[in-house]
Amino acid sequence: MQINQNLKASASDADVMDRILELKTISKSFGGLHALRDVTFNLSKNKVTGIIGPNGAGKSTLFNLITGYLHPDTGSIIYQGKNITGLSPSKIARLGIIRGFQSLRLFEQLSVLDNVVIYSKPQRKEGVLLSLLPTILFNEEYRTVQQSSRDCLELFQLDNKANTLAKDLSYAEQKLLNLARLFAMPGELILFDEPMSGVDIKIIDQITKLIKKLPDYGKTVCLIEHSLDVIQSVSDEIIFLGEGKVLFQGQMDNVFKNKELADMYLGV
Amino acid sequence: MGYLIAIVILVLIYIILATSLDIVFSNAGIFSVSHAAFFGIGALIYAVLSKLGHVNYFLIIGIVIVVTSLTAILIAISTLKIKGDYFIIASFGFQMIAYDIFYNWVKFTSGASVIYAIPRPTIFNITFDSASKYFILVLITTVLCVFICWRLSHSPFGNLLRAIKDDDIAVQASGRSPLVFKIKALVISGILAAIAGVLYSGYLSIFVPGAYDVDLSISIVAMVIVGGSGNIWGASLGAAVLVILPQLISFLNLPTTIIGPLQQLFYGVLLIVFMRLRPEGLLKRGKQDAD
Repeated sequence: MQINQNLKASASDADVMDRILELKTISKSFGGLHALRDVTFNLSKNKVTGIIGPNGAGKSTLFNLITGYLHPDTGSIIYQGKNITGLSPSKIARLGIIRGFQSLRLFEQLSVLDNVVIYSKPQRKEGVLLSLLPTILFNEEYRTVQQSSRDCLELFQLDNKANTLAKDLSYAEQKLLNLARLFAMPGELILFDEPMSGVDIKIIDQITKLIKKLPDYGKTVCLIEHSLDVIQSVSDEIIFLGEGKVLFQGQMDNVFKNKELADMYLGV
Repeated sequence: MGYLIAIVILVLIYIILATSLDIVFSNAGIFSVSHAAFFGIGALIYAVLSKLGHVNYFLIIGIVIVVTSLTAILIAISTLKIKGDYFIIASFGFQMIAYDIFYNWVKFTSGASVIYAIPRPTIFNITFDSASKYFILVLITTVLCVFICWRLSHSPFGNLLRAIKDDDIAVQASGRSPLVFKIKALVISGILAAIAGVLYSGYLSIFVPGAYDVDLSISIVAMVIVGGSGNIWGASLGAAVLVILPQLISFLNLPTTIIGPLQQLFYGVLLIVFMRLRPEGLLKRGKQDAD
Protein backbone atom coordinates (compact mmCIF):
# COMPACT_ATOMS: atom_id res chain seq x y z
CA MET A 1 0.00 0.00 0.00
CA GLN A 2 2.79 2.34 1.04
CA ILE A 3 4.74 1.41 -2.06
CA ASN A 4 1.71 2.04 -4.19
CA GLN A 5 1.26 5.54 -2.77
CA ASN A 6 4.94 6.31 -3.27
CA LEU A 7 4.70 5.18 -6.84
CA LYS A 8 1.65 7.35 -7.35
CA ALA A 9 3.40 10.35 -5.82
CA SER A 10 6.48 9.93 -7.95
CA ALA A 11 4.36 9.47 -11.04
CA SER A 12 2.52 12.73 -10.41
CA ASP A 13 5.84 14.47 -9.61
CA ALA A 14 7.19 13.28 -12.92
CA ASP A 15 4.00 14.50 -14.53
CA VAL A 16 4.45 17.95 -12.98
CA MET A 17 8.13 18.00 -13.92
CA ASP A 18 7.10 17.16 -17.44
CA ARG A 19 4.92 20.24 -17.77
CA ILE A 20 6.38 23.32 -19.37
CA LEU A 21 3.23 25.43 -19.32
CA GLU A 22 0.19 25.22 -17.09
CA LEU A 23 -2.96 27.26 -17.57
CA LYS A 24 -5.25 27.28 -14.56
CA THR A 25 -8.88 28.43 -14.92
CA ILE A 26 -8.08 31.27 -17.30
CA SER A 27 -10.99 33.55 -18.20
CA LYS A 28 -11.03 36.63 -20.36
CA SER A 29 -13.92 38.86 -21.40
CA PHE A 30 -14.05 41.83 -23.73
CA GLY A 31 -17.02 43.84 -22.54
CA GLY A 32 -19.90 41.42 -22.65
CA LEU A 33 -18.08 38.89 -24.83
CA HIS A 34 -16.59 35.92 -22.97
CA ALA A 35 -13.60 35.07 -25.15
CA LEU A 36 -12.26 32.39 -22.79
CA ARG A 37 -13.96 30.66 -19.88
CA ASP A 38 -12.11 28.63 -17.23
CA VAL A 39 -9.53 27.35 -19.67
CA THR A 40 -7.29 24.81 -17.96
CA PHE A 41 -4.64 22.70 -19.69
CA ASN A 42 -0.97 21.76 -19.54
CA LEU A 43 1.63 21.52 -22.26
CA SER A 44 4.16 18.71 -21.96
CA LYS A 45 7.84 19.30 -22.58
CA ASN A 46 9.29 18.42 -25.97
CA LYS A 47 5.90 17.72 -27.50
CA VAL A 48 4.02 19.35 -30.35
CA THR A 49 0.50 20.38 -29.36
CA GLY A 50 -1.94 21.59 -31.97
CA ILE A 51 -4.78 23.94 -31.10
CA ILE A 52 -7.84 23.72 -33.32
CA GLY A 53 -11.30 25.14 -33.17
CA PRO A 54 -13.77 27.17 -35.19
CA ASN A 55 -13.19 30.85 -35.91
CA GLY A 56 -13.78 32.98 -32.84
CA ALA A 57 -13.06 30.10 -30.47
CA GLY A 58 -10.47 32.24 -28.67
CA LYS A 59 -7.29 30.64 -30.08
CA SER A 60 -5.37 33.85 -30.75
CA THR A 61 -6.67 35.38 -27.51
CA LEU A 62 -5.15 32.39 -25.74
CA PHE A 63 -1.74 33.14 -27.26
CA ASN A 64 -2.09 36.81 -26.38
CA LEU A 65 -2.76 35.83 -22.77
CA ILE A 66 0.16 33.41 -22.56
CA THR A 67 2.58 35.98 -23.99
CA GLY A 68 1.39 38.92 -21.88
CA TYR A 69 -0.22 41.08 -24.61
CA LEU A 70 -3.47 40.56 -22.73
CA HIS A 71 -3.95 39.86 -19.05
CA PRO A 72 -6.50 37.28 -17.87
CA ASP A 73 -9.47 38.38 -15.75
CA THR A 74 -9.04 35.31 -13.56
CA GLY A 75 -6.70 32.34 -13.37
CA SER A 76 -2.96 31.92 -13.59
CA ILE A 77 -0.33 30.93 -16.12
CA ILE A 78 2.68 28.96 -14.90
CA TYR A 79 5.72 28.62 -17.15
CA GLN A 80 8.47 26.26 -16.00
CA GLY A 81 7.18 26.49 -12.45
CA LYS A 82 7.10 30.31 -12.46
CA ASN A 83 3.89 32.31 -12.33
CA ILE A 84 4.02 34.61 -15.36
CA THR A 85 0.49 36.02 -15.11
CA GLY A 86 0.56 39.79 -15.57
CA LEU A 87 4.18 40.03 -16.74
CA SER A 88 5.00 42.22 -19.75
CA PRO A 89 5.40 40.62 -23.21
CA SER A 90 9.12 41.41 -23.35
CA LYS A 91 9.73 39.85 -19.94
CA ILE A 92 7.81 36.71 -20.90
CA ALA A 93 9.81 36.51 -24.13
CA ARG A 94 13.05 36.76 -22.14
CA LEU A 95 11.90 33.86 -19.96
CA GLY A 96 11.83 31.72 -23.10
CA ILE A 97 8.38 31.83 -24.66
CA ILE A 98 8.75 32.44 -28.39
CA ARG A 99 5.71 33.72 -30.24
CA GLY A 100 4.88 34.00 -33.90
CA PHE A 101 2.09 36.25 -35.13
CA GLN A 102 -0.54 35.40 -37.68
CA SER A 103 0.09 38.73 -39.42
CA LEU A 104 3.88 38.11 -39.48
CA ARG A 105 4.85 41.51 -38.08
CA LEU A 106 8.21 41.62 -39.85
CA PHE A 107 10.49 44.64 -39.61
CA GLU A 108 9.87 45.59 -43.22
CA GLN A 109 12.41 48.40 -43.45
CA LEU A 110 15.21 46.17 -42.13
CA SER A 111 17.24 43.59 -44.00
CA VAL A 112 16.32 39.91 -43.82
CA LEU A 113 19.45 39.28 -41.74
CA ASP A 114 18.67 42.07 -39.26
CA ASN A 115 15.15 40.69 -38.81
CA VAL A 116 16.73 37.48 -37.54
CA VAL A 117 19.47 39.26 -35.55
CA ILE A 118 16.86 41.24 -33.59
CA TYR A 119 15.17 38.01 -32.56
CA SER A 120 18.47 36.43 -31.50
CA LYS A 121 19.96 36.65 -28.05
CA PRO A 122 20.18 40.32 -26.96
CA GLN A 123 23.68 41.69 -27.47
CA ARG A 124 25.59 44.14 -25.35
CA LYS A 125 26.21 46.17 -28.51
CA GLU A 126 22.53 47.09 -28.53
CA GLY A 127 23.32 49.53 -25.70
CA VAL A 128 23.91 53.19 -26.54
CA LEU A 129 27.42 53.51 -25.12
CA LEU A 130 28.72 50.27 -26.61
CA SER A 131 27.25 51.27 -29.99
CA LEU A 132 29.53 54.30 -29.91
CA LEU A 133 32.71 52.36 -29.12
CA PRO A 134 34.94 51.05 -31.91
CA THR A 135 33.50 48.08 -33.78
CA ILE A 136 36.27 45.79 -32.57
CA LEU A 137 34.97 45.70 -28.98
CA PHE A 138 32.54 42.88 -28.25
CA ASN A 139 32.97 41.89 -31.85
CA GLU A 140 33.13 38.21 -30.93
CA GLU A 141 29.58 38.28 -29.54
CA TYR A 142 28.39 40.35 -32.50
CA ARG A 143 29.96 37.97 -35.00
CA THR A 144 28.53 34.90 -33.26
CA VAL A 145 25.01 36.33 -33.46
CA GLN A 146 25.49 37.30 -37.13
CA GLN A 147 26.78 33.82 -37.96
CA SER A 148 24.02 31.96 -36.12
CA SER A 149 21.46 34.21 -37.81
CA ARG A 150 22.96 33.39 -41.21
CA ASP A 151 22.88 29.68 -40.35
CA CYS A 152 19.23 30.04 -39.50
CA LEU A 153 18.53 31.76 -42.83
CA GLU A 154 20.33 28.92 -44.59
CA LEU A 155 18.00 26.44 -42.93
CA PHE A 156 15.10 28.30 -44.55
CA GLN A 157 16.96 28.83 -47.83
CA LEU A 158 16.92 32.58 -47.38
CA ASP A 159 20.69 32.99 -47.04
CA ASN A 160 21.00 34.48 -50.54
CA LYS A 161 18.50 37.19 -49.57
CA ALA A 162 20.26 38.19 -46.31
CA ASN A 163 20.72 41.81 -47.41
CA THR A 164 17.32 42.27 -49.07
CA LEU A 165 14.80 44.41 -47.24
CA ALA A 166 12.09 42.27 -45.66
CA LYS A 167 9.39 44.24 -47.50
CA ASP A 168 10.86 43.19 -50.86
CA LEU A 169 10.40 39.46 -50.21
CA SER A 170 7.55 37.43 -51.67
CA TYR A 171 4.78 36.43 -49.26
CA ALA A 172 6.08 32.86 -48.98
CA GLU A 173 9.58 34.14 -48.27
CA GLN A 174 8.23 36.51 -45.63
CA LYS A 175 6.46 33.59 -44.04
CA LEU A 176 9.74 31.64 -43.97
CA LEU A 177 11.63 34.65 -42.60
CA ASN A 178 9.12 34.89 -39.78
CA LEU A 179 9.78 31.25 -38.92
CA ALA A 180 13.55 31.69 -39.29
CA ARG A 181 13.62 34.43 -36.67
CA LEU A 182 11.50 32.36 -34.29
CA PHE A 183 13.96 29.47 -34.71
CA ALA A 184 16.84 31.85 -33.96
CA MET A 185 15.32 33.10 -30.73
CA PRO A 186 16.51 31.53 -27.49
CA GLY A 187 13.71 29.82 -25.56
CA GLU A 188 12.02 26.54 -24.83
CA LEU A 189 8.39 27.03 -25.86
CA ILE A 190 7.40 28.15 -29.35
CA LEU A 191 3.87 29.33 -30.15
CA PHE A 192 3.02 29.41 -33.87
CA ASP A 193 -0.14 31.14 -35.06
CA GLU A 194 -1.14 29.59 -38.40
CA PRO A 195 2.40 29.16 -39.75
CA MET A 196 1.17 27.46 -42.93
CA SER A 197 -1.66 29.71 -44.02
CA GLY A 198 -1.34 31.20 -47.49
CA VAL A 199 1.66 29.18 -48.68
CA ASP A 200 1.87 26.40 -51.24
CA ILE A 201 2.11 22.70 -50.54
CA LYS A 202 5.87 22.51 -51.12
CA ILE A 203 6.54 25.10 -48.44
CA ILE A 204 4.02 23.47 -46.10
CA ASP A 205 6.03 20.24 -46.38
CA GLN A 206 9.23 22.11 -45.66
CA ILE A 207 7.80 23.90 -42.62
CA THR A 208 6.18 20.71 -41.32
CA LYS A 209 9.53 18.89 -41.39
CA LEU A 210 11.25 21.73 -39.55
CA ILE A 211 8.56 21.96 -36.87
CA LYS A 212 8.69 18.21 -36.29
CA LYS A 213 12.42 18.46 -35.64
CA LEU A 214 12.05 21.14 -32.94
CA PRO A 215 11.46 18.73 -29.99
CA ASP A 216 14.85 17.14 -30.81
CA TYR A 217 16.41 20.53 -30.02
CA GLY A 218 14.68 20.64 -26.64
CA LYS A 219 11.83 22.87 -27.78
CA THR A 220 8.15 22.47 -27.02
CA VAL A 221 5.76 23.55 -29.74
CA CYS A 222 2.19 24.76 -29.60
CA LEU A 223 0.56 25.74 -32.85
CA ILE A 224 -2.76 27.10 -34.03
CA GLU A 225 -3.64 25.76 -37.45
CA HIS A 226 -6.77 25.41 -39.54
CA SER A 227 -5.53 22.63 -41.79
CA LEU A 228 -6.38 19.36 -40.09
CA ASP A 229 -3.90 17.51 -42.34
CA VAL A 230 -1.09 19.70 -41.06
CA ILE A 231 -2.21 19.35 -37.45
CA GLN A 232 -2.45 15.58 -37.86
CA SER A 233 1.03 15.30 -39.31
CA VAL A 234 2.89 17.46 -36.78
CA SER A 235 1.02 17.16 -33.48
CA ASP A 236 1.56 14.66 -30.69
CA GLU A 237 -1.60 15.91 -29.05
CA ILE A 238 -4.38 18.33 -29.85
CA ILE A 239 -6.54 20.73 -27.90
CA PHE A 240 -9.98 21.55 -29.27
CA LEU A 241 -11.11 25.01 -28.28
CA GLY A 242 -14.74 26.00 -28.83
CA GLU A 243 -16.85 28.83 -27.45
CA GLY A 244 -13.95 29.86 -25.23
CA LYS A 245 -13.61 26.48 -23.54
CA VAL A 246 -11.33 23.47 -23.86
CA LEU A 247 -13.70 20.87 -25.25
CA PHE A 248 -11.17 18.14 -25.88
CA GLN A 249 -7.51 17.38 -25.18
CA GLY A 250 -5.95 14.20 -26.49
CA GLN A 251 -5.07 12.27 -29.63
CA MET A 252 -6.14 13.63 -33.00
CA ASP A 253 -7.75 10.34 -33.99
CA ASN A 254 -10.25 10.57 -31.19
CA VAL A 255 -11.42 14.13 -31.56
CA PHE A 256 -13.80 13.77 -34.47
CA LYS A 257 -15.26 10.58 -33.15
CA ASN A 258 -17.33 13.00 -31.11
CA LYS A 259 -20.02 14.08 -33.56
CA GLU A 260 -20.77 17.27 -31.66
CA LEU A 261 -17.16 18.50 -32.01
CA ALA A 262 -17.03 17.50 -35.66
CA ASP A 263 -20.23 19.44 -36.34
CA MET A 264 -18.96 22.44 -34.42
CA TYR A 265 -15.66 22.45 -36.29
CA LEU A 266 -17.32 22.18 -39.66
CA GLY A 267 -19.92 24.76 -38.66
CA VAL A 268 -22.80 22.41 -39.26
CA MET B 1 34.08 87.49 -43.68
CA GLY B 2 32.60 87.99 -40.22
CA TYR B 3 29.11 87.57 -41.65
CA LEU B 4 30.13 84.39 -43.43
CA ILE B 5 31.59 82.89 -40.24
CA ALA B 6 28.42 83.84 -38.35
CA ILE B 7 26.30 82.00 -40.93
CA VAL B 8 28.54 78.94 -40.91
CA ILE B 9 28.45 78.79 -37.09
CA LEU B 10 24.65 78.97 -37.19
CA VAL B 11 24.51 76.26 -39.85
CA LEU B 12 26.73 73.99 -37.75
CA ILE B 13 24.63 74.48 -34.62
CA TYR B 14 21.46 73.70 -36.60
CA ILE B 15 23.13 70.63 -38.07
CA ILE B 16 23.50 69.29 -34.50
CA LEU B 17 19.82 70.04 -33.88
CA ALA B 18 18.60 68.42 -37.11
CA THR B 19 20.77 65.30 -36.91
CA SER B 20 19.92 64.74 -33.25
CA LEU B 21 16.19 65.12 -33.94
CA ASP B 22 16.62 62.63 -36.77
CA ILE B 23 17.58 59.91 -34.24
CA VAL B 24 14.14 60.00 -32.67
CA PHE B 25 12.20 61.17 -35.72
CA SER B 26 13.44 58.85 -38.46
CA ASN B 27 14.91 55.95 -36.53
CA ALA B 28 12.50 55.53 -33.65
CA GLY B 29 9.53 57.14 -35.42
CA ILE B 30 8.87 59.54 -32.54
CA PHE B 31 7.46 62.79 -33.95
CA SER B 32 8.53 65.32 -31.36
CA VAL B 33 7.92 69.06 -31.53
CA SER B 34 9.87 69.77 -28.36
CA HIS B 35 13.44 69.79 -29.63
CA ALA B 36 13.76 73.54 -29.07
CA ALA B 37 12.99 72.96 -25.38
CA PHE B 38 16.09 70.77 -24.98
CA PHE B 39 18.06 73.34 -27.01
CA GLY B 40 16.81 76.02 -24.58
CA ILE B 41 17.71 73.98 -21.47
CA GLY B 42 21.34 73.78 -22.64
CA ALA B 43 21.37 77.47 -23.56
CA LEU B 44 19.87 78.55 -20.23
CA ILE B 45 22.17 76.41 -18.07
CA TYR B 46 25.22 77.69 -19.91
CA ALA B 47 24.00 81.28 -19.60
CA VAL B 48 23.42 81.03 -15.84
CA LEU B 49 26.50 78.99 -14.90
CA SER B 50 28.99 80.82 -17.11
CA LYS B 51 27.91 84.12 -15.58
CA LEU B 52 28.84 82.81 -12.13
CA GLY B 53 32.47 83.15 -13.12
CA HIS B 54 34.94 80.34 -13.24
CA VAL B 55 32.81 77.27 -13.63
CA ASN B 56 34.72 74.73 -15.71
CA TYR B 57 33.29 74.32 -19.23
CA PHE B 58 33.25 70.55 -18.96
CA LEU B 59 31.48 70.77 -15.60
CA ILE B 60 28.81 72.90 -17.30
CA ILE B 61 28.51 70.31 -20.07
CA GLY B 62 28.25 67.59 -17.40
CA ILE B 63 25.45 69.45 -15.61
CA VAL B 64 23.68 70.04 -18.93
CA ILE B 65 23.88 66.30 -19.68
CA VAL B 66 22.50 65.34 -16.26
CA VAL B 67 19.65 67.88 -16.32
CA THR B 68 18.70 67.05 -19.92
CA SER B 69 18.80 63.31 -19.26
CA LEU B 70 16.53 63.63 -16.23
CA THR B 71 14.14 65.87 -18.15
CA ALA B 72 14.10 63.52 -21.15
CA ILE B 73 13.51 60.47 -18.92
CA LEU B 74 10.66 62.26 -17.14
CA ILE B 75 9.03 63.23 -20.43
CA ALA B 76 9.65 59.83 -21.98
CA ILE B 77 8.12 57.90 -19.10
CA SER B 78 5.08 60.14 -18.92
CA THR B 79 4.41 60.40 -22.65
CA LEU B 80 6.02 57.62 -24.69
CA LYS B 81 3.23 55.16 -24.03
CA ILE B 82 1.06 57.58 -25.97
CA LYS B 83 1.39 56.88 -29.66
CA GLY B 84 1.44 58.78 -32.95
CA ASP B 85 -0.53 62.01 -33.14
CA TYR B 86 -1.18 61.99 -29.42
CA PHE B 87 2.56 62.05 -28.70
CA ILE B 88 2.91 65.13 -30.93
CA ILE B 89 0.39 66.92 -28.71
CA ALA B 90 2.18 65.72 -25.55
CA SER B 91 5.57 66.90 -26.84
CA PHE B 92 3.95 70.21 -27.80
CA GLY B 93 2.76 70.48 -24.20
CA PHE B 94 6.28 69.90 -22.90
CA GLN B 95 7.57 72.57 -25.29
CA MET B 96 5.04 75.06 -23.90
CA ILE B 97 5.94 74.20 -20.28
CA ALA B 98 9.66 74.61 -20.99
CA TYR B 99 9.03 77.92 -22.72
CA ASP B 100 7.01 79.20 -19.75
CA ILE B 101 9.79 78.16 -17.37
CA PHE B 102 12.41 79.97 -19.50
CA TYR B 103 10.23 83.10 -19.45
CA ASN B 104 8.98 83.14 -15.88
CA TRP B 105 11.62 81.59 -13.67
CA VAL B 106 13.20 85.00 -13.17
CA LYS B 107 14.82 84.10 -9.84
CA PHE B 108 16.91 81.55 -11.64
CA THR B 109 17.76 83.98 -14.40
CA SER B 110 18.77 86.66 -11.86
CA GLY B 111 15.69 88.82 -12.16
CA ALA B 112 15.23 89.16 -15.89
CA SER B 113 13.92 86.75 -18.43
CA VAL B 114 16.61 87.85 -20.87
CA ILE B 115 20.21 87.16 -19.83
CA TYR B 116 22.83 89.52 -21.23
CA ALA B 117 26.62 89.49 -21.41
CA ILE B 118 27.08 85.72 -21.35
CA PRO B 119 30.83 85.13 -21.49
CA ARG B 120 32.51 83.03 -24.15
CA PRO B 121 33.91 79.74 -22.81
CA THR B 122 37.49 79.11 -21.74
CA ILE B 123 38.76 75.57 -22.27
CA PHE B 124 42.30 74.52 -21.27
CA ASN B 125 43.20 78.20 -20.83
CA ILE B 126 42.09 79.06 -24.37
CA THR B 127 39.31 81.63 -24.42
CA PHE B 128 37.17 81.29 -27.49
CA ASP B 129 36.59 85.02 -27.72
CA SER B 130 36.92 85.70 -31.44
CA ALA B 131 34.46 84.48 -34.06
CA SER B 132 37.09 82.40 -35.83
CA LYS B 133 38.20 80.70 -32.58
CA TYR B 134 34.58 80.03 -31.67
CA PHE B 135 34.02 78.61 -35.15
CA ILE B 136 36.68 75.97 -34.42
CA LEU B 137 35.00 75.01 -31.13
CA VAL B 138 31.62 74.73 -32.88
CA LEU B 139 33.10 72.76 -35.78
CA ILE B 140 34.77 70.21 -33.46
CA THR B 141 31.60 69.81 -31.39
CA THR B 142 29.43 69.45 -34.50
CA VAL B 143 31.70 66.80 -36.00
CA LEU B 144 31.60 64.90 -32.71
CA CYS B 145 27.80 65.15 -32.40
CA VAL B 146 27.19 64.17 -36.03
CA PHE B 147 29.59 61.25 -35.60
CA ILE B 148 27.58 60.09 -32.57
CA CYS B 149 24.34 60.28 -34.59
CA TRP B 150 25.88 58.47 -37.56
CA ARG B 151 27.37 55.76 -35.38
CA LEU B 152 24.12 55.21 -33.47
CA SER B 153 21.99 54.97 -36.57
CA HIS B 154 24.41 52.41 -38.09
CA SER B 155 24.59 50.23 -34.99
CA PRO B 156 22.49 47.40 -33.56
CA PHE B 157 20.93 50.14 -31.39
CA GLY B 158 19.83 52.04 -34.53
CA ASN B 159 18.48 48.85 -36.06
CA LEU B 160 16.39 48.26 -32.97
CA LEU B 161 14.99 51.78 -33.14
CA ARG B 162 13.98 51.21 -36.77
CA ALA B 163 12.47 47.86 -35.80
CA ILE B 164 10.42 49.63 -33.12
CA LYS B 165 9.24 52.15 -35.72
CA ASP B 166 8.17 49.26 -37.99
CA ASP B 167 6.48 47.13 -35.35
CA ASP B 168 6.93 47.61 -31.62
CA ILE B 169 4.72 44.60 -30.79
CA ALA B 170 7.14 42.31 -32.64
CA VAL B 171 10.07 43.94 -30.79
CA GLN B 172 8.37 43.08 -27.50
CA ALA B 173 8.07 39.48 -28.69
CA SER B 174 11.84 39.42 -29.22
CA GLY B 175 12.34 40.09 -25.51
CA ARG B 176 13.39 43.75 -25.82
CA SER B 177 11.45 46.56 -24.22
CA PRO B 178 10.60 49.20 -26.87
CA LEU B 179 9.99 51.76 -24.13
CA VAL B 180 13.54 51.43 -22.80
CA PHE B 181 15.02 51.94 -26.27
CA LYS B 182 12.76 54.92 -26.97
CA ILE B 183 13.78 56.51 -23.66
CA LYS B 184 17.46 56.04 -24.53
CA ALA B 185 16.89 57.60 -27.98
CA LEU B 186 15.06 60.59 -26.51
CA VAL B 187 17.78 61.10 -23.88
CA ILE B 188 20.65 61.02 -26.41
CA SER B 189 18.78 63.26 -28.82
CA GLY B 190 17.93 65.69 -25.99
CA ILE B 191 21.53 65.81 -24.75
CA LEU B 192 22.86 66.64 -28.22
CA ALA B 193 20.25 69.39 -28.67
CA ALA B 194 21.19 70.82 -25.27
CA ILE B 195 24.87 70.84 -26.24
CA ALA B 196 23.89 72.79 -29.35
CA GLY B 197 22.14 75.17 -26.93
CA VAL B 198 25.35 75.63 -24.92
CA LEU B 199 27.18 76.56 -28.13
CA TYR B 200 24.36 78.88 -29.19
CA SER B 201 24.10 80.96 -26.04
CA GLY B 202 27.91 81.08 -25.74
CA TYR B 203 28.05 82.40 -29.27
CA LEU B 204 25.27 84.98 -29.11
CA SER B 205 26.19 86.06 -25.55
CA ILE B 206 22.52 86.55 -24.86
CA PHE B 207 19.68 84.27 -23.77
CA VAL B 208 16.26 85.28 -25.05
CA PRO B 209 13.51 82.82 -23.96
CA GLY B 210 11.44 83.64 -27.04
CA ALA B 211 14.09 82.04 -29.25
CA TYR B 212 13.36 78.55 -27.89
CA ASP B 213 9.69 78.29 -28.71
CA VAL B 214 7.57 75.92 -30.74
CA ASP B 215 8.32 77.84 -33.98
CA LEU B 216 11.92 76.74 -33.68
CA SER B 217 10.92 73.14 -32.91
CA ILE B 218 8.85 73.10 -36.09
CA SER B 219 11.72 74.65 -38.06
CA ILE B 220 13.99 71.79 -36.92
CA VAL B 221 11.37 69.26 -38.04
CA ALA B 222 11.26 71.14 -41.38
CA MET B 223 15.04 70.83 -41.72
CA VAL B 224 14.85 67.05 -41.30
CA ILE B 225 11.94 66.73 -43.73
CA VAL B 226 13.39 69.06 -46.40
CA GLY B 227 16.87 67.53 -46.17
CA GLY B 228 15.69 63.94 -46.11
CA SER B 229 14.88 62.02 -42.98
CA GLY B 230 16.69 58.84 -42.09
CA ASN B 231 20.19 59.91 -43.00
CA ILE B 232 22.46 62.42 -41.30
CA TRP B 233 23.60 63.97 -44.59
CA GLY B 234 20.01 64.79 -45.47
CA ALA B 235 19.34 66.35 -42.08
CA SER B 236 22.59 68.34 -42.33
CA LEU B 237 21.74 69.56 -45.82
CA GLY B 238 18.25 70.53 -44.62
CA ALA B 239 19.79 72.55 -41.79
CA ALA B 240 22.13 74.34 -44.20
CA VAL B 241 19.38 75.12 -46.72
CA LEU B 242 16.92 76.37 -44.13
CA VAL B 243 19.48 78.57 -42.40
CA ILE B 244 21.05 80.03 -45.54
CA LEU B 245 18.06 80.61 -47.85
CA PRO B 246 16.11 82.85 -45.42
CA GLN B 247 19.32 84.86 -44.95
CA LEU B 248 19.32 85.55 -48.68
CA ILE B 249 15.89 87.13 -48.30
CA SER B 250 17.44 89.70 -45.97
CA PHE B 251 19.64 90.86 -48.88
CA LEU B 252 16.52 91.95 -50.76
CA ASN B 253 16.00 95.65 -50.52
CA LEU B 254 12.90 95.38 -48.34
CA PRO B 255 11.83 96.96 -45.04
CA THR B 256 12.67 94.81 -41.97
CA THR B 257 8.96 94.61 -41.07
CA ILE B 258 8.43 92.63 -44.26
CA ILE B 259 11.60 90.52 -44.16
CA GLY B 260 10.66 88.75 -40.89
CA PRO B 261 7.22 87.52 -42.01
CA LEU B 262 8.62 86.75 -45.47
CA GLN B 263 11.14 84.35 -43.92
CA GLN B 264 8.35 82.59 -42.00
CA LEU B 265 6.33 82.42 -45.22
CA PHE B 266 9.34 80.88 -46.94
CA TYR B 267 9.57 78.11 -44.27
CA GLY B 268 5.89 77.37 -44.61
CA VAL B 269 5.88 77.22 -48.40
CA LEU B 270 9.01 75.06 -48.48
CA LEU B 271 7.51 72.60 -45.98
CA ILE B 272 4.28 72.29 -47.99
CA VAL B 273 6.14 71.93 -51.29
CA PHE B 274 8.35 69.15 -49.92
CA MET B 275 5.55 67.29 -48.20
CA ARG B 276 3.55 67.37 -51.45
CA LEU B 277 6.24 66.83 -54.06
CA ARG B 278 9.20 65.15 -52.42
CA PRO B 279 8.33 63.69 -49.01
CA GLU B 280 11.62 61.77 -48.93
CA GLY B 281 13.52 65.10 -48.87
CA LEU B 282 16.47 66.35 -50.92
CA LEU B 283 18.69 63.39 -50.07
CA LYS B 284 16.80 60.15 -50.21
CA ARG B 285 17.81 57.50 -47.69
CA GLY B 286 20.22 55.30 -49.69
CA LYS B 287 20.44 51.55 -50.00
CA GLN B 288 23.77 51.54 -48.16
CA ASP B 289 22.03 53.18 -45.21
CA ALA B 290 19.35 50.55 -45.21
CA ASP B 291 21.80 47.66 -45.05
